[in-house]
Amino acid sequence: MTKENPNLITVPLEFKIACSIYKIAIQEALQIFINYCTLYDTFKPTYSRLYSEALETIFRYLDMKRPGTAVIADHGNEIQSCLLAILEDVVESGLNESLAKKEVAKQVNKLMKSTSGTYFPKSRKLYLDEETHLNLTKDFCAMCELYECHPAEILDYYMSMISVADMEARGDLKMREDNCSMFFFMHTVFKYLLKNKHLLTLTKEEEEFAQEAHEFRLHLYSIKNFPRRRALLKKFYQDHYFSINPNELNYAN
Amino acid sequence: MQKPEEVLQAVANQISYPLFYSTKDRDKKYGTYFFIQHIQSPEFKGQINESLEEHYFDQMATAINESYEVHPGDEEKAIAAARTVMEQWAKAAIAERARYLTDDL
Repeated sequence: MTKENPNLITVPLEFKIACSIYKIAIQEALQIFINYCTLYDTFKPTYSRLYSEALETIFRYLDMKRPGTAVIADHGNEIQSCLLAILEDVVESGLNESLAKKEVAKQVNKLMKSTSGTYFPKSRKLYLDEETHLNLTKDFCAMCELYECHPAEILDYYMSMISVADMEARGDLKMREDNCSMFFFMHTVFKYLLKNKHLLTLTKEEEEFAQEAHEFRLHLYSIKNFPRRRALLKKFYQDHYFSINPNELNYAN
Repeated sequence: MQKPEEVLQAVANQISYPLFYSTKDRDKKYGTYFFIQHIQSPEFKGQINESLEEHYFDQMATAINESYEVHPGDEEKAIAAARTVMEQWAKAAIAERARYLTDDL
């Protein structure tokens, strides 16, 4: 993926729609994803709910970008020794989780000092627009450096995997779901909504739309073809999104 | 006052794919909304022949579209066209169900 500005994020329409349906700001949704990507979990051999899905998203992106190549390239002795220390802290030391995480954080600090910072902005901030930015964690930056990719590439890939229309079409047709990114999105969004309970109260318009969406999905019962059903759902959500964000329509055209 | 069976009859009368997929009137759809929700719920224990379902739903959509092309705005004609497909579907479903009886003959 080559971009003129590697630190520029392009938010796809379906990601905007998903955030709008679940009433989460785009910035918030992306920040949550960044916060769940940790080096500790990269080295941990066992599954950690949501952390593993966030990492799997990164690995699927890397695999798509450079299929079959070794994941971590040679980064010189200093970094290599940090990585070995992390591996020891996580796998071999027998430390409990919170202590191991603290030890890993120390190594991540060291690692960040040893890297040249080719792949992340020095400010560790990624701007969505003039007013909003994402804070890139040290873990996230360290991973970008180790795996030789820009933060925006990973975030672009994550966003490209999010589609409410795709999820619902698969769900309604009882198809197997293998989208770890969508799983991550939905579960973290629900956690976020439960923390911000005021968002669960629907306005009259939101209630009407929820009812309309429910009826529309029942209407689609006769459409057994997956791409067709997904396309119809996509159009349904797009139309609604543009009706509440008319400015976006001008922009899209 | 209305008898319960009369209310149930009114609901049953509204359960109709031809009506549901032909009309634009939301108020005429509630019976079938309930029906579709029910057959997708865990309480529904019936068996659905999905390949027949897919085939006849496609046929019905075509029949309704063609009817509206020839008779724009004529809901009754569209419903009638869809009902012809429903009759074929019902025949095919019964034949399919009876196959285990007739196959060995």
